[in-house]
Amino acid sequence: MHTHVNDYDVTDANGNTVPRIGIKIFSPADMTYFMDLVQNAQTKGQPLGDVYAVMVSSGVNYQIRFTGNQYQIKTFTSDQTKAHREPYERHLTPFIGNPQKLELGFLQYISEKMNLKGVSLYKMNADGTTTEIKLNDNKTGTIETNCPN
Amino acid sequence: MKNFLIIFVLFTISCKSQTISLETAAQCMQQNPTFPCPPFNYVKDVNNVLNKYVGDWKGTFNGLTYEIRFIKKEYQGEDIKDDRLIGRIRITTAPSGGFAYLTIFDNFGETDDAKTGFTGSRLQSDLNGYMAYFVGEAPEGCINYGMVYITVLDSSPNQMKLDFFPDYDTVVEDCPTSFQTTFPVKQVINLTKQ
Repeated sequence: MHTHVNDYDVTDANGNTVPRIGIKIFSPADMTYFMDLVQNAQTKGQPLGDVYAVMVSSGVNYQIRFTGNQYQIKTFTSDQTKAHREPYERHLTPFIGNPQKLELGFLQYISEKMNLKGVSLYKMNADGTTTEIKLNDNKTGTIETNCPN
Repeated sequence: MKNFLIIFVLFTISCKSQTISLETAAQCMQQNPTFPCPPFNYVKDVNNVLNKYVGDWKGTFNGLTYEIRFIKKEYQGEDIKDDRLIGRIRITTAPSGGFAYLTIFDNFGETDDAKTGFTGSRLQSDLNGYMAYFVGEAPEGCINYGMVYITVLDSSPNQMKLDFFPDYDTVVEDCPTSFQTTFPVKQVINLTKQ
C-alpha cells in the first residue's frame, strides 16, 4: 500500500511558484512490483487472487488485484520498466484532472502497451462500497460494476 | 437535398483534426482546471512559443559544464499528436589532471530523436515556462527520472534556466548514497545561448 503525493507547489527555474502535477494512479514501477508479488505467490503456491495493491490519494483510492491465470503472469526487468516511464507519462497526461479518463488511460496502457492481462482495477468509494472498472470491448471506454458487499 | 448538404458539411468539419494550442492544453490538463479540455487530437504550437528554446545552450554548475541542444518537432506522438521540444545533453568536467575535460554524460551523438531520454511534455500551467521529461540511467533503487522545468524570458532571450524535479515512485531497494542524478535535484542551472 502506498500514497501518491498531492500536487504541491514547486519553485520553477525562474523562481515562480508552479504546481507540480502528479498522475494519481498506479505507475509502471508500481505495476512491476505488483507483478513481482503475483509471481512470488505463484512460486509459493499461494492463491494469486490474494495479491492486491492499494493506492491512496487525496482524490480517489484504487486497488488492483490479479484475476488472471498463471499464464498471464508477466514480470518486467528494471530496464523494461524504465522504458515505460516516458510513454506512460505522455499517454496519461491528457487525462490529468479527469479521474474517469485517467482510469481509462491507465487500463489502456497496462493492457495494450505493457501487455498485462488479468489485472483488475477497483475504485474504493467513500461509502465503503467498491466499484470494478474494466475496459469495454473496443477499449475506448470503461465499464463500471458495483461489487456486491 | 439542402439538409443533406448541411449534414455533409457538419460531418466534414467534425472529421477534421481537432487542434488546441499548447497554452490551452497546459491550462486544462491539471487538477481542478478552470475549464475542461475541449475534445482534441492535436496540441499545436499555434503561437510559436517553443521557438525561443530551440538552439544550443551552455552553462556551468558546481564545476560541471552543461550543454543542452533543443530542436522543435511538430505533429509527434501516437494517438494524440503534439508539437514538442527534443533535448540532447552533454555534461563535462572542467580541465583536470592533464585532460582537456572528462565527459560525464553525452547524447549529442544520438541520431534517433525518440531515444534522447529528454522529451518535451507541455507548457507549465502558468505558461511561464516549458516542461520536458528526462529519463536517465540509474542503479536499482534510484530514481533518475522526472520533470525538468525550463524557462527563457522574453526580456532576456539568450538566458535559459533549468530545474529538475525527480518523480516519486516505487523502488524495491535502497539507493546507494553515492548516487547522483544526471541533473542536480531542485537546483537551477543557468545557460547562455551559443
